[in-house]
Amino acid sequence: MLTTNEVVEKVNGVLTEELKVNVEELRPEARIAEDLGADSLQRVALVMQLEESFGLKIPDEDAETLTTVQAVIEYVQKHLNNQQE
Amino acid sequence: MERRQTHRAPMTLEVQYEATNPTPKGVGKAVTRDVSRSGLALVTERPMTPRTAVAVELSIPGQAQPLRVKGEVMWQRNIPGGVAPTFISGVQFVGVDPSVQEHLDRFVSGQLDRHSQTVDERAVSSFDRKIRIAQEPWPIQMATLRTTHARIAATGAYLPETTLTNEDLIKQRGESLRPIILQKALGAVERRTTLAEETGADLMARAGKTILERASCDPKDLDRIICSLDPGDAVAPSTAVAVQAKLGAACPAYDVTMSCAGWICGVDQGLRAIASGEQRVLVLAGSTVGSKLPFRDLKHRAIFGDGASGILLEAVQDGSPLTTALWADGRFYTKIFAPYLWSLHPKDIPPEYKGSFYMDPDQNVFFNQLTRVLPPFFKRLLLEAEVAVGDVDHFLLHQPSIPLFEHSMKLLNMIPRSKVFDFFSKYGNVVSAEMPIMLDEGISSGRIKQGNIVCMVTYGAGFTMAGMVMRY
Repeated sequence: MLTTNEVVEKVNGVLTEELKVNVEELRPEARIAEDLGADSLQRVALVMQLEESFGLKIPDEDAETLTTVQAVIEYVQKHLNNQQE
Repeated sequence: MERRQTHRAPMTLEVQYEATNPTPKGVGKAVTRDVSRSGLALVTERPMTPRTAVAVELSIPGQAQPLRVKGEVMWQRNIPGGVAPTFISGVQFVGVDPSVQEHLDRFVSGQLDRHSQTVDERAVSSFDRKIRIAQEPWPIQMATLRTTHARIAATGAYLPETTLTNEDLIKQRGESLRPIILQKALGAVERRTTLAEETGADLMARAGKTILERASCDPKDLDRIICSLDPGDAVAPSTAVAVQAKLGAACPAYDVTMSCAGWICGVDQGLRAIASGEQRVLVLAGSTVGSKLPFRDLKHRAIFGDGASGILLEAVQDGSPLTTALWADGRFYTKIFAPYLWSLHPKDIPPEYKGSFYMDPDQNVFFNQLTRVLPPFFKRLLLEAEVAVGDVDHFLLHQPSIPLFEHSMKLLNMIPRSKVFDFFSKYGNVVSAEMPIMLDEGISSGRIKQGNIVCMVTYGAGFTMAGMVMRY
């Protein structure tokens, strides 16, 4: 099982890669669209990369809630834990 | 029989009336909103207080002499919103002569039979429509037209044979992206593309040729050709004159520009030309946006497809109603912007988009404006067409991208999904050619049947919006 730090690090890796931003910009409250400049295409790519990297299935309704860096991290953590149980 | 006693037949008849008691006394002309065996509703420019005694002369079609009846005003309402003050009064007949009553009975029951047969009239009568439209504080300004003087003689379409898949596009542009991402973000899987040596006029002339053949119409018999092409093949002359020459027609030909709403705008003009005496108007639409415009972003390129389509409008005496509606709001001029080479670059568009197609990355502006405009536009369109939502057999709704289309479906949640055409995944956004292509496919495939009512709504750059209701 991944530790919190490992999850954060891996999410940050996906975010920097897909959104072409620096890791310093990834403050927890940073908004994916408004602050990090993700367009609709990048948001879809981001969700699909998260699914692949963490072995998750993220339904469209859930994808709409992933609006900040913090929301992404919390979502991944919660669903990884659910998978463990 | 019960229904016959009380039912009011909606109809507009000219009436002479004289208010005799009490004041205000006066003689005037008015029209009826409806007539029943025992009374009528009168629309007047001056108020008539309840209990006023009136003498009414009803001019009934086919009757040499008007029917004379006396009555009493039972109620009165003000109709707000009109240019001149307008009032509606309920008049109950008093002491009707038996021979007059017999005429009234026969006439009213004949009208009721007629109305129970026609769907359009059943939804709401012409007078109710005008009153209801005048009563509502519409948040948007629209231009509308309803005519029974024209019919659609034939439809036709031409779609270029070359198909571009998401994979093709990504490869072409050398971007590292999975095709499925384009599909998930935009909804398009593939779209058609014009060959380098083909023009928009070529596409529209092919569609036009099919239409004229199906209608057995000699191109020389056309009175007018109206084309909506995005982008036009040249600034001057119009693309329509190139189409006219390719078809071998001799009539005047010109272009209209209203982005995705352009074709319905052309139909609106064609209907007006026919209402004022022309016989046959060819209204075509084409899109070469995908293949001819310079795109900076792959996601913008991937939205658009090429194609052409249209209809032949023909004059008829008493056809099924054709209704059109138009709307524009130029405050959003730069939100979707396709420049000429010499266009001044708008200040609010980032400089890197100079010379290229641009769409505001803040999608909220599109969603918000759709939320503001689409519901009242749709309501008004159906009201003008005198059609209820349940009467419509097919809805052709614009599919600019799947997320926006889904948003419009949420806004118009009274429309059953099974009545909506699916189009985007195989053709992309074909701009103003989309509506007539869907119409032609629907008719050719047999999904749209004779007598079906079709409602179309489309919107685009400007912003602009257009709608049309027709019976096939």
